[in-house]
Amino acid sequence: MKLLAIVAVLGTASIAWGDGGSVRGTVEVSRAKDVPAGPVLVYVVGFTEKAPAQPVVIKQVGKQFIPDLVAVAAGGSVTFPNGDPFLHNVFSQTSERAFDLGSYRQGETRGRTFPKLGVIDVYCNLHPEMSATIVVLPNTRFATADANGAFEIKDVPPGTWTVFAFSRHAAQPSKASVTVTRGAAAEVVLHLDEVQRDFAHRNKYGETYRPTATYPPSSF
Amino acid sequence: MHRVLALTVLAVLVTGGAAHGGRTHFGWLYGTELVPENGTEVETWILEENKKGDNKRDETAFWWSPVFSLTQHLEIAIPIEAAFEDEHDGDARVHFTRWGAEARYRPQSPDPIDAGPFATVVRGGAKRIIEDRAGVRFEADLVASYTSGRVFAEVDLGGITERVPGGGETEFRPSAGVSVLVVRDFRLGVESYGELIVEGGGTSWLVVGPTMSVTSGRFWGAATLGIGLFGLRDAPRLTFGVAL
Repeated sequence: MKLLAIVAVLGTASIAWGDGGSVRGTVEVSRAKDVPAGPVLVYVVGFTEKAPAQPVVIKQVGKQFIPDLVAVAAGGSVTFPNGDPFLHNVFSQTSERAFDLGSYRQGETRGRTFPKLGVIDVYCNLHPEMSATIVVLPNTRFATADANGAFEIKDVPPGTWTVFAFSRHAAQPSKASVTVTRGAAAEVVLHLDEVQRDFAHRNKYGETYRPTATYPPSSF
Repeated sequence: MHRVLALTVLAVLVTGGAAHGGRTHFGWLYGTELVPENGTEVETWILEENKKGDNKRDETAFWWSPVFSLTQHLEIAIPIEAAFEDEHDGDARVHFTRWGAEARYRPQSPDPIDAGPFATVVRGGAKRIIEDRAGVRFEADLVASYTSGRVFAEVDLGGITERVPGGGETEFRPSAGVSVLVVRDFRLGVESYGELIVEGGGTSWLVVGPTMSVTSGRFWGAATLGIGLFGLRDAPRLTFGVAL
């Protein structure tokens, strides 16, 4: 069964944001049964911008990466503060940006820069349930769609660009061409098919995770 | 040793895989990578010095140690060393030679992209000489590496000094190597290493030879066949580590 989330496309409006325009619209998500709703990232490509100095933050809380989907402009950095009272070991084996932060304690932060474009899957070597995705983009023109699928990306330079919608549950991102004119909002509707994914992965040594012992209360 | 090299090459061809820190790409040179923070590896060296000096002395030495990463920039090792030594005088034997501790400090980020192409490691160690209770040995290395694409070049300027009652020995140990990434985590290269006597007796020697290294899962290893330019016939060496 598929759930279809459709939100009415916003009307075109003439607005002025510097020398650029905006891209706005909706992402219609077809979601397979039992697929949890997750964030949808929308981004525009075709031009480059320098990454801001401020890092993107992915917290580690309750054995989860929060948020589990972020975007960063190429050359930007992502930090991973540990908010749990135990060690975490963030790593990635994605070829575009393999890294290993080692194990560090609650209250400590480690991070990495991401110079190359790509989709980087990030895990914890100690907790197999933890996974996140970093999308490294050529510019900072991206946004997260709201619960209804609506989004707006401001300050897009005039020109014809490609806009993408990306979800961790989608097999492929969807895309559309959009023409942006100065001071105007270009409208676009994108469609994503989300399927069930369990994000199963191996640890940083390429091995299956060792099972963690659990003891019932009667054991004590 | 030649058989070990061949088996290692075979292992590379059938495995390959995840890379991690704490390794060297050369047999005789220290690396500029450290074990990831709060990680532990067991590191092993097996090395030979064959037909050294006028009396054609043969030696096989063994070095074992856990290596603990204390921070992103500092790791320590607590090695114990043993050796088989044959002076061809009828008194060949195997014995424990030294134990002690060493620290390796890398000032740059542990990440090769964040650190950039240039990396350094400073190593210092102090060891007790097991069969001379008043003896002590100090070791130091300054290692610098540069990475450009598939090419990894490294220089290791090291030295040791042994202080024992009534004497001592000091050696300068320069080495350098170039390694090229061939496929996945398999590298081939060439390296040169020497032990040059500065103080005391002994034989100075220098080798140059091919080297290879591999990383696969928890394992990394490097092997070289050093061919003597002077002072000995050859000096092969196998260095490997396994992450715990």
